[in-house]
Amino acid sequence: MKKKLTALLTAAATAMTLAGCTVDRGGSSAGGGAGGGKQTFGRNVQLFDAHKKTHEAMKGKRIAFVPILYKGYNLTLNWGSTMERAFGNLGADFRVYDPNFDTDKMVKIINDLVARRAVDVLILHNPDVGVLTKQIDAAERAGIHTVVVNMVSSRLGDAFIGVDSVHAAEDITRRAVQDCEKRGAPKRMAIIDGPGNDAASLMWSKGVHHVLDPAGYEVVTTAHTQWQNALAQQAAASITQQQKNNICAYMVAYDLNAIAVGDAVADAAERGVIRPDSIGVYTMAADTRWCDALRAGKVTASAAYDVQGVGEAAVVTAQQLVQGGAPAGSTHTVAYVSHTVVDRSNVDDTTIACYKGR
Amino acid sequence: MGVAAVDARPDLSPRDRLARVEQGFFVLGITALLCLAGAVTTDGFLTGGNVENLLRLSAAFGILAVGEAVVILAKGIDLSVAGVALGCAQATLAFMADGMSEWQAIALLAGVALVVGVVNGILVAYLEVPALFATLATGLLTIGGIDILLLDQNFYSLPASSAISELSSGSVLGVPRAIFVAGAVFVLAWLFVSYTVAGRLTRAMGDNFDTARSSGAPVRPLQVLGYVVSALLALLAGYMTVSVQGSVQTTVTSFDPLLFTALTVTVIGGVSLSGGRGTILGVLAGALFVGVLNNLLILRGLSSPLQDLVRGGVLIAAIALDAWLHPRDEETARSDEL
Repeated sequence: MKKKLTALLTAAATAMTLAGCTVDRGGSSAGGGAGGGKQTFGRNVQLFDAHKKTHEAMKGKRIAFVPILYKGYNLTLNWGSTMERAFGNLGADFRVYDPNFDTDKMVKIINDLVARRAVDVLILHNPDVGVLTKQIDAAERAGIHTVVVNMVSSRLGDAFIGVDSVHAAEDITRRAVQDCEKRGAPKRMAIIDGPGNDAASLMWSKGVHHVLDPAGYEVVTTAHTQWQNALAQQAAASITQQQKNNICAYMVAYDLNAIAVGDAVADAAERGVIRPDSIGVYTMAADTRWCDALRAGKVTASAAYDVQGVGEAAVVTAQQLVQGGAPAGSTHTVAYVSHTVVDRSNVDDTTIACYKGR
Repeated sequence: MGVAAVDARPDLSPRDRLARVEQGFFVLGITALLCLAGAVTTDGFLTGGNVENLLRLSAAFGILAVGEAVVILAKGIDLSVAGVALGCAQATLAFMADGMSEWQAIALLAGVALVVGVVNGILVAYLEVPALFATLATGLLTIGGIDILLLDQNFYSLPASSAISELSSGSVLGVPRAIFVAGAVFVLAWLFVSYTVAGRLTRAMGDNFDTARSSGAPVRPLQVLGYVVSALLALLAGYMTVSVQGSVQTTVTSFDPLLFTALTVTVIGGVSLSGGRGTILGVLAGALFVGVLNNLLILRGLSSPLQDLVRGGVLIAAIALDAWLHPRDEETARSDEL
């Protein structure tokens, strides 16, 4: 009798717990987050049902995009405008929150959104590997799906979408080596990255060294810029003055910084410090302003990646997460978009180069 | 007792002797030692080309520091200078990108800088708002206002054929133009502070505000003048920054290093934050020191945190040295109302 009573109580408690979980993780946007709802589709679907169910699944879903910087920044504007168009078409409520390059502000925005359960899917532009770990963890516990773009987070979230930075750095460095050898230039290069101790800078340096070290090239110095053009320009001006023609290329981690480096190199050539066209400027990504600098002969080549593809992939991933019905944080994927080397000869024929904000 | 004290020649301690030396010479000496260390440890450091390069890169923050020094000498401080410098430069480039003529854009933004200077002056001199808070607020208003109303991009390039780009290209009498312009600003500021009535009264006001006022000096208009000079020099420094750089970013974080550098140069140059003490020669020496230090930090490839550590350490050392050489007394203690 005692055993039966214990079994009955245990069963009742389990049922209550499960019921509680179900209520708490309900897929509607009115209550908790998107995670843990029913799967939208089964094995088969009627032709017009697919359209109807896809819209129903996304209608009213609250999607927040929190980039490191939004206003006036082509990279994130490109992602944001793609998301705005796609989520708008699906009837979802899409909003962008702009921390204006302030990591503390970014963390506060995300904390607030998660605490208020004000979103179903968070699309985050992580500034560095460890920065948003707690926020992604808290979002998962609140049933909010997280899609991280550009920089992977040590707490992965549901999905990461970005460029294969190390591979891209290797590809553009190979190109730089080829150019240096064609010119018979010294086997010496300088790296110009961001803060230096952040993941983006480390991946860039790793990719560059992967190619340069076995090829017998020397990295004369690695200058750090905090992603600021003023510091990139100062570094390039100082290093060019010191090395003169004893260096064959700058490997710059950020395309907009590369423009300032290109200006410094062009200025040094104009003042007779170096021979014209004796130092190449290589980078990753190809903003439309970088393309202008390329056409003006200030920079040499870039590993351009599919910026718009990142925004599109984030939209698709968000839909898959909502339709899949799996609880937030129960699946984890990392996916890369395409990249290719562009220079003056092919930049105007390459669709993924010269991205714009809209 | 009194007569005996006057007659007896005081035996000056080493600290007192050092305190009597013009701090500009002291800082120039330290800069020379730093150059020597750089020459020994870093290839290509002590060459004519590199010296020209570091002077060129120091021109913008040197000009900014001169304006800051003029305000600080009068017992004020101006935290809006970086906002005015970069904000106005960005807005000028934004207007030019939208098709406005360069000179129209410059005139418009010179007007903005003038207004910020006058507002700063009125807030501090007439409404007696502490300068620290008044200029912090106007700086934020300038940055925010320009960002919201005038900018739609994060990055603007400077057209190669513009007058602003000419500020740092070519040379005048064999001196690179950026260095020549900065040098001219230093000379004019030195003449203003040392030889004009307004300059002398500015310093007197910083030394003892109440005495200057009771002696009939127009202290309030002079304070306004100081902030206007600072704002207009900030505008010039902003154009110099953009000219040397060739482009400009509009993120808020890009303002901080410029303000920090201008304040560091002023303090290292021996301009007392209590007002009244300091020289333009000192500011020049401070600018040279920071220029050499920045150049060495870049050439040595130190990481950003390590660079921040060095810069912060240098600033602390400069403030501590200043406090040791010029200990607080009752008079200077009263001036910590900034």
